[in-house]
Amino acid sequence: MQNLFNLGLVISVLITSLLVVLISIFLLYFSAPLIFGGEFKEFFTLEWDPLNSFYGLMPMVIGTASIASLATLFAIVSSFSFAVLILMFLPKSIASFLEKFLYFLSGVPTVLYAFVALFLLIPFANDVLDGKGLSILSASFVLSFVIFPTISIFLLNSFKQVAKKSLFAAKSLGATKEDLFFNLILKSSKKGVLSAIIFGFARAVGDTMVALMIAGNSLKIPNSLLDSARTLTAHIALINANDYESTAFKALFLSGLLLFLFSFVTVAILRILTRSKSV
Amino acid sequence: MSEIIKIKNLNLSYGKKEVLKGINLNIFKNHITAISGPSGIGKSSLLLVLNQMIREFERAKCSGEVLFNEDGEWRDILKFKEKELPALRKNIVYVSQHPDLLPFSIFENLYFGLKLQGIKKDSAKSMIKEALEKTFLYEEIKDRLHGDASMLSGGQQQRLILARALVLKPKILLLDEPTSSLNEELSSKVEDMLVKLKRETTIVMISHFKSQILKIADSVLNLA
Amino acid sequence: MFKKGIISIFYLSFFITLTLFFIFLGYVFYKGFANFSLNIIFDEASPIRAIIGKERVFDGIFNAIVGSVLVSSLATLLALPFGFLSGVYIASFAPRRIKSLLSFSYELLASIPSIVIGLFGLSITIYLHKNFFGNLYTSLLISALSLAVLILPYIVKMSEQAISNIPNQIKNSALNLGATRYENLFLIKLPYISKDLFGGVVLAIGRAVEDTAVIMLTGAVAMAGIPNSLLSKYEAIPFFIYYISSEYQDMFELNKGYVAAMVLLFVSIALFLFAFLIQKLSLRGKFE
Repeated sequence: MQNLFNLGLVISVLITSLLVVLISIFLLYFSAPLIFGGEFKEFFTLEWDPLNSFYGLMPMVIGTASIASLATLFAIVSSFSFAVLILMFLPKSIASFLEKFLYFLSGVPTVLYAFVALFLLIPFANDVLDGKGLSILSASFVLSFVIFPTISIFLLNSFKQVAKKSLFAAKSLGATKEDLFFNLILKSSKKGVLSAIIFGFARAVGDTMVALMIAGNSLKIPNSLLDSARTLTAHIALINANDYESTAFKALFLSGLLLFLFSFVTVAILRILTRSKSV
Repeated sequence: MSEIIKIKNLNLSYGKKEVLKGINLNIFKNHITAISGPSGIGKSSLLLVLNQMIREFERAKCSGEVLFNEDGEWRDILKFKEKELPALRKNIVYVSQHPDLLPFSIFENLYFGLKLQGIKKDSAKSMIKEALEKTFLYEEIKDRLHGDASMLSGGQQQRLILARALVLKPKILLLDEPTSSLNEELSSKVEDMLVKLKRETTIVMISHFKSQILKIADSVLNLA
Repeated sequence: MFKKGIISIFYLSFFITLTLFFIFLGYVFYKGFANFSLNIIFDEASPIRAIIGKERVFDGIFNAIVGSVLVSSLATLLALPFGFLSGVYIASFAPRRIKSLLSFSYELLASIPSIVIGLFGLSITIYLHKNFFGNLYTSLLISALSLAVLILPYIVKMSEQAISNIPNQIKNSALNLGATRYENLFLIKLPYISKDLFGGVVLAIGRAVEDTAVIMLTGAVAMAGIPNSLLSKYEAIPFFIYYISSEYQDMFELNKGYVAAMVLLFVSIALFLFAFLIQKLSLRGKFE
């Protein structure tokens, strides 16, 4: 009986831990012909036009980078506000409710944010911005709502760790709430803040629905925040599954591979950051 | 002999448990007032009432009056509003029984209270050196001022948090077992230092060393 | 003062953000309620007959609801045993170095964008279709498998944490009385964390129901009846919302979208509350 259980354990662990490897293998398998086909550099050119044999992924890379960065920027301000106020300035009952509210928000599906934005924000944006409602700016704004709860929770937990240990001592020395935040918590949470930002940025990069529905999906390289853009994730979602053998289709796997590599780097960086957190 | 704090009929309870009952005490300026009694009887809690850090404990309830003579005016600190407390705690500084270091370097630990009062780092350096010398710590750590404070030994940490309070030159110093981790020689030196210090600062201290109390206290409150 | 100024900015940002979120949530509920009717869900079919499968629904969101329920239940059923056992292994039996390696692997899995997981599912389908199963296309089964991959790391983490958080006295007391590791696991640890696990399962189901990117590449379509086999296409609520937002032809279709959005939000709230209540109950029990 125990042996059966042991076997079950081992099989489970083997299967689940190797999934990542399996995923990377499949991504590589499908994009290998592109990588080793001699024209690899082509995929980093600036134009995607399969009908004319242009397979540059750069417009999408730029799209992802700009939307994710701007969204993270927007989200940082609101996340910080929530984290600080919940930790220190709001009455306990309100703070406790808000914390739970944050956890709830982090589970709201992103497609809902995109859907509401489409009917509430975009018509308004189109009015104000002369028809440029579906753009990097709008998408970043909506995306910031999606990643905001995650960053807030991360920040809040980082701050709490410091507060737990030293709040009493600092207060006994006459620190006001502002002092406590700026001179104690912020000062000793630098790694936590950085981790939260990286974590939020990674989530923004990985989001599909908001970019797909709000950013416009144009293939041109965006020149300004009001231009329409396409992200790597939306690019994959817009699969035109007519020809599984085509280069265009395989290039989607290259996009997937890029995203996978990005995740890998992010996780590695976060591990290093949180590991070397002293005390 | 003028009083600086008058405690009138102070009661403290934690939820349903009564910790302090009917405490009356006059604390005189530039005196060393000692508080003694068996463990768990509420000595530390009494100190925490004096700097109102007792409010950090949700279930703690105080009644009575604790009058503090601040620049000629008598005010009941039990009735202080939340925003008046940081200023109070810069005048009445508490040194905990267990070293509660801030997650910074030795220097930053000592500088923290001064920074709150707007004192620049350069001016602070001499004040910090003075405080470290008073607690007989300077020679031991002068070369690692910017090292992590948590690397110090127990006795060194205890002297560090004492220095952290001394550097603020408070009106009243609340000491909770300040020499419990120190050997006889160091304890004696600190006791002598406290006697000299009372000229500038009023001291209220908890001690479970009878000899210490006999040696340096001007008055004693026994909570038994 | 400078510091107080920043705090005021925080308050301002706080209120603006909070307001926007309430507008967002309020809009979903308002539009959903305003346009709600049994018609939207069941179209011309009678609700009871549709639910027991005797009548087909053609134009309502009922099929999408059923599809979502099916795919997320299946995904959870698939992910749960493997995820749980892996979590148990890491928490109870793994040596330190392997623990570190394994947790890196799961962290990585958790951070892969969902669209890439969908792409993975699609690629497996293509591969199997070409080389082994000419009948295999993207379908309910493929989606469920892919969703299982998506939610797996969360189940692993949750199981592992639940076991690690058992207080040492409880973890070790049976061992001190001569029990084996396995007896300890089944008789002491598992019953103790059963409520945490339940909460974790609820959250996992939530993730599976709410995802769009994975299912849009692995079998969810705009129009399909109730799937009659694992290998058929199906409809799902999140995909439906996406699809209708760009392809709606008239108000009725748009209204279906609003109701679908409200349903999804409702599900999200219900699952959250459920998990939260379970957590509250389990804390109460532990202090007995």
